[in-house]
Amino acid sequence: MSFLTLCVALFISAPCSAQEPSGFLKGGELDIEAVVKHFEDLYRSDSSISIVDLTVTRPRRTRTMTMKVWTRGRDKALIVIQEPARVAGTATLKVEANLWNYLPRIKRTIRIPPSMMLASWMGTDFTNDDLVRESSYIDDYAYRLAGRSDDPAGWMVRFEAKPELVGLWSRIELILSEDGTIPLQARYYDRRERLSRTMRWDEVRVFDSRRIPARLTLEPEDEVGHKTEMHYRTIRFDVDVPEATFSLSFLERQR
Amino acid sequence: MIGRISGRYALRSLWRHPRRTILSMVGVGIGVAIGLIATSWMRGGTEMQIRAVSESGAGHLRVVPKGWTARRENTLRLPDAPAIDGAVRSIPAVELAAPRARVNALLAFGNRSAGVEIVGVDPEVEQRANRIVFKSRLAGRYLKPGDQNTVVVGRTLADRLRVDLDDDLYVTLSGPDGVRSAMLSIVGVLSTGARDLDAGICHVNLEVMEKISGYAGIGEISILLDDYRRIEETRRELGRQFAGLEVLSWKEVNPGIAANVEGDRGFMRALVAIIIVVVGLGIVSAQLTAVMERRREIAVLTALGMRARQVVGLVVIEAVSVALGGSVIALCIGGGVAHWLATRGVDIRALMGEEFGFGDVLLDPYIYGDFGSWIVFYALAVSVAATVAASLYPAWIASRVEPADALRT
Amino acid sequence: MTTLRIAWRNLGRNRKRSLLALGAIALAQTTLVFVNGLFAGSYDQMLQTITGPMMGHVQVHHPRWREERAVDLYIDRLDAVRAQVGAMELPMSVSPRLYSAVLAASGEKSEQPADAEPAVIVGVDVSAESTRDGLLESLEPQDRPQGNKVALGRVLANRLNVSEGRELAVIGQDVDGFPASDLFVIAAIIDSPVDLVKTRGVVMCFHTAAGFLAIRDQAHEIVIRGSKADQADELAREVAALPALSELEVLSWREAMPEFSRMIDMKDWFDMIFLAIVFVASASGIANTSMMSSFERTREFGMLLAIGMQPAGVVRMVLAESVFLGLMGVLVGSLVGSALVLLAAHTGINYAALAGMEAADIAFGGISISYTIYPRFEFRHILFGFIAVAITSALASTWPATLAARLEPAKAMRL
Repeated sequence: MSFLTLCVALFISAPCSAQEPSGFLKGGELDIEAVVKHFEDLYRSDSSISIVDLTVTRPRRTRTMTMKVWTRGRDKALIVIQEPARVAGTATLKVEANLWNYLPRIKRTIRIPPSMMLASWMGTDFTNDDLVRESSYIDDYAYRLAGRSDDPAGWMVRFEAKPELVGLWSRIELILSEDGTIPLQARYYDRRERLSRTMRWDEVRVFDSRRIPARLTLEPEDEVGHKTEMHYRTIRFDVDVPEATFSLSFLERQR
Repeated sequence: MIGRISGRYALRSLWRHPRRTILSMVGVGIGVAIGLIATSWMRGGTEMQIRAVSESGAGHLRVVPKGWTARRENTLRLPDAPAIDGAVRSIPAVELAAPRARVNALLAFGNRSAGVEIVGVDPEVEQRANRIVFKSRLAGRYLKPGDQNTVVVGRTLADRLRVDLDDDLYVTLSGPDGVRSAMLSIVGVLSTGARDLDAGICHVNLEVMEKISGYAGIGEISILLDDYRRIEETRRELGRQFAGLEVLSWKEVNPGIAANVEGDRGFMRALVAIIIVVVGLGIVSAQLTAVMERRREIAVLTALGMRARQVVGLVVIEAVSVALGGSVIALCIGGGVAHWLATRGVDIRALMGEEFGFGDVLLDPYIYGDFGSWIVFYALAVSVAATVAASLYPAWIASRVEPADALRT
Repeated sequence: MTTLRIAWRNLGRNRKRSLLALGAIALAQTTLVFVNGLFAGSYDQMLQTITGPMMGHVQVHHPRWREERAVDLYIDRLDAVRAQVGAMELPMSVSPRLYSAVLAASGEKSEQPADAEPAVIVGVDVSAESTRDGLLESLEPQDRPQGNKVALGRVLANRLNVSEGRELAVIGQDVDGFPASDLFVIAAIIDSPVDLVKTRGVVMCFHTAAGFLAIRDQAHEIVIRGSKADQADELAREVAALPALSELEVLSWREAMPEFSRMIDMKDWFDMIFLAIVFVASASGIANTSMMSSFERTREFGMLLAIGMQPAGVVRMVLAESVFLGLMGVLVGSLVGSALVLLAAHTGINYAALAGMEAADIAFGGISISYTIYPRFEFRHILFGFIAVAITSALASTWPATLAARLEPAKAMRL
């Protein structure tokens, strides 16, 4: 269940205004502030409904699940697995600090202890830093344009962790598209400046009038054959998601 | 009348047959010395095991909140900890009282993570009370009071996370109000030599624990007594004072080890009992022989008018004198060896490897014997008992000797 | 020749003295044989405890399973492996196991969702684990895991607030990583000395665990128990040589848990030291007796010298006496000692009273510990005593005899 727990955290959204960028070039130079803010809020909205394929690749086997996700604010999320059929209907609900799982096979809802959010992960390659996601790129990192990158081609923005930052990364190198609107790749360095993992974005599509990559791929550096992919099929931003969605009764109804 | 004659004859007889006397005393002395050494070894072994367990964190006694034993919930905290702490320290038998607070957490660095139980400690006390701290190799330094956000981890744990001194670990844990995270800086890496132990060591200051976990106060007080034999009485005392808490002995904290130690102790006692029996019988046998061989002499005495009672008295007084002499020898030899065992100890590193961890316990690769005033009492008691018991039968026989018969042979 | 006859007759003529010396020797031999048997028995007991419920004699795993404990690091083609091991025609039990980290919660329907706790599924071969030394030894037959009935560790049951007869919900991941869940019935709550089982264990039958994990023909661990624990290394080598196990990790308990290995070797050493102590104690008894006897016979020796016996003859005579006594004493001691060992091996020796315990098998925080030892008889124990004791008694009486033989007959007789 760490699997679903993680997913919940990834979809936490923050209230903010999604702005359709028209490019961030100002006189040939990238407007860093705007670029970083845009990146931070790329997938965020006050509420959303989306359908995602999550694929975890390991040396011995690969698994994919399709999930429908409802989010509202920062604190509420509901995830229901739609495929494969044998686990369809398995659902996770997060409301503030509480987490519940519904298992259709046994028709029971159980409350996940908060400590389970910390269990070492047999599941995906995401870390508990991603899970807790307390840090913000804008506030906790010192960022600057670090020139251009060749592979992939684009702008490189370097984030250096501020001293008081509670988090795993000392440095993140983000490569953005020419117009600064689409992230292409991010390299994460641990506190000893060793490359720890690489995140890639591709398959740019328009979702609900936002132009964003549909696919995220995360590869840890020192594990051969390990990969985690999130592939958005549909996303609807700022859609009206009723409060009742985030309730136990809704959770238990056959989805 | 009995006493004077028997006594004087006995002593003179002992004096006049130096070889026999010395042989008897040496016999008794060596036998009792062996018993002494075996007992010292046994007591030392028991003491060592209990000390190993109690110093590895369990303490001789531990004060925990009610409900801990059933659920082993490590985030429970003691109510009014300072009062409990004060009360504990005021008990004279208490040598050290180590307060601790625990919480389960996930340590992470880069994309590696490890689950661990973080233990909040009082560094000054912990360094004296926990042998995992004072007997290990330490890279860097241990915690100091006033440290902010520092942590000391075990070597195996550090290796798993691929970190070392001065690295900053990312900690996530479940606090009373939800998930919390913090950074801890490694100032020390402990290496006990036992992999399982080293994979679980993670110490922070109590103040740091409170800050990062959100759980205020102390979860347990581990008590080390100056003498392990006072565990039960101290426990009763504490139980009376703190009725709303649980006072556990190391046996309950660590039942598996306790069963081992108790079993060992019982077995040892059986062995020492066997040795004492053998020693006793050896003394009996020697004394019987001596008396057997003196039938002629005793016959003469009887013929000269010594009464049966006096003959018995003679034999007994001789026996006691031999016993006293024997216990002196026993104390010299046995006491000497026991003292050597107690101070130098037997080094069993060749057998066990450098340090030896068993479960949560760090064992000493040295066996120390026990040495104390009990040795004098023991030597005297066993010598006298064995020698007197040994002489009763021969004394009785001796008193029934027909002078004529005996003199004829 | 004459010496021998004189020696023999001496023994007969001084029955009491001979019996005493005999007694000391016999006692020494008895003690040595008995204590040896006792130690052998306690070694067996310790070995049995170590190779107890979890460990067995030989363990088989996927090479990386012990480090990572991942569900998909399994032993493949379990049936083939079992068949080959079984075909070895050695007396042994083969017990496969499955492990998986899960969440458990009360499965009773209720207003509020139940709180889940981390737990571990332990799938076992129930019949193999219900024998002596097995994980489920303490359960009555009707309480054993079977189908959807499971046994829960005591501390876990406390944390979940559940009791026997209730339903238990378990959720986790199957071998492919997909969510898996099921409802079980709690047949029993067990207090196991194995910490994993007591604090987090959900023990179920192998088949059920395999179903939960969507596993077929695989296991995480195979525990093999042969007839003798101290032949485990050999057994491990033989098992490892089987073709079906060529890519698996096969460890004897000594390799899997070196601390236990060292511990029991250490015990062996200590036992030897103790034996030495016992020997010295008995030897001193013999020596004391023999020397005392010889010294007291100085007059007799003096007389023999006076009537013309050679000093060497006296020494030979004493030597012969002590050899006779030694042989007889050792014989008697061996018989008595062996009888004691065999008797004790049958009834067991309960040293609980000495340990300060009331009952023979104590429940210590729920653990069942046996304070009974069954001594083991071995012929070489007798041999050891024989040699040691015979030598001691010979030496012990000869020295004073030598001294006596050098005396002036007149002086000797006057004593």
